[in-house]
Amino acid sequence: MTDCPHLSDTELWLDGEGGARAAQIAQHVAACPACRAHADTIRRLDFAAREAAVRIKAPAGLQSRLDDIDAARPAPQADGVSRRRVFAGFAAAASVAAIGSVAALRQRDSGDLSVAVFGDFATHLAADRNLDLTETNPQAVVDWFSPKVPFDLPRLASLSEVDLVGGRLCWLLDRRIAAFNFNRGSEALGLYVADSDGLTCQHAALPQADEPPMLLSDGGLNGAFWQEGAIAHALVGQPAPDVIAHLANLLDTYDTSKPG
Amino acid sequence: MPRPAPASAETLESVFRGEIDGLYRTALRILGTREEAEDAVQDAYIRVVHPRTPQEMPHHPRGWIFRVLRNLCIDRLRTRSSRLRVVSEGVDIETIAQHQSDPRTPESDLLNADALDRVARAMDAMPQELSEALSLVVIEGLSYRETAGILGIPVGTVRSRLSRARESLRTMVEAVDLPRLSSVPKVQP
Repeated sequence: MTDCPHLSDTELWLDGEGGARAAQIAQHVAACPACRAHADTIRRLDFAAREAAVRIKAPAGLQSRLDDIDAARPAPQADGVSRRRVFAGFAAAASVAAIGSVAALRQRDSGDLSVAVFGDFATHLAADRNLDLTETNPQAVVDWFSPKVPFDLPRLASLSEVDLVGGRLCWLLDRRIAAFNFNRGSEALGLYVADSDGLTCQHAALPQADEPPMLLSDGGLNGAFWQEGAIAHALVGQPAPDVIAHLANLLDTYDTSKPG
Repeated sequence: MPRPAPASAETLESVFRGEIDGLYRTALRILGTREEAEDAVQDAYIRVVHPRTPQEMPHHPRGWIFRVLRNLCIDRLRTRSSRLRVVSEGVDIETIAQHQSDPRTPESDLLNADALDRVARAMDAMPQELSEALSLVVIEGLSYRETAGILGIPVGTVRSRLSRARESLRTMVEAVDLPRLSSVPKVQP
């Protein structure tokens, strides 16, 4: 039953992925007892898997929720109004109309970077270090993030006062955010980097790199917030505010030109 | 092969609604609870109907929609301290029971409910990376390429995961009396 080297081609063929070789594989399966038996087994397994799964259908209430969302959607936006702002308004309206999941909709309605990253840091980076990548080489972390985020990452130029631990790819405020995780002795820090479009901080625009970063505290954590060009930065962590501000000033010197 | 034209907003909505059962199943499999699965699908819909420029429209809407949903589900998982699985927590059994009165197809009568429960349990017992590949290709009918895009892995990895998933399923449901081949509607490759 398992003595034919072409068994995996049989699965390829059954999945409709044989491409130009489909006819050739079909001829082989027809002539090869092992592949024919394998094809029979796969057909039966696939059938059983489909039958087991399709018993589960979306509840009728879910369709109604989508209908409610459609009903709350605005007409196409007028010129000069940002798409993100239109979407925020739509999400706000939907949160009233949709049944349940109001909190999830409110999350979309918020563009406040500080609320998002303080929450994410407390949940993922402060204690359990829920990292996607454990890596101490800065360039390796940047290289790992680069294809996953739709913006150019800063070059991690000066890290003498903190130790890089790794990275976590977040989806906050309807966008991908790269979070670099550092240790400073026993204290943890996270540098969140995102496309700054539409983001605010405490209802204000993020300071530009030539201005002092905005310093905020929340739940025992401290953070510095600023943007360089179109890239928002948030340095959040357990160190004292003056330390965070000092480190943010160091990070402020990052070269935001595209690596390489 | 020429690249397909970008999908229109109407197409995205239409595809989403047409795939809602599969999207719900996918969310349920990842998140494990009906409430969270419904919330995730709703969030995905909001994201999918988000106004976009023509340049931002996906060329492969079906795979793109599943990818959006999966990413949202994974973000939800990350906010949890514990990761629930579907059938092992009993949630899925409840869901299945809820749908037992659904109109049955003649083919589905080839397997009794007990056998289907065993198959569902076997799928849930496999590593998530395998059950995801099996679900997307075999159950939802996505291509290897679409599945690779959704899972963020190479096509070759989809193929190997699928093969391992089938082998795992075969091993785990050997005792289940699967229908004879002659009774199974053949899927024409």
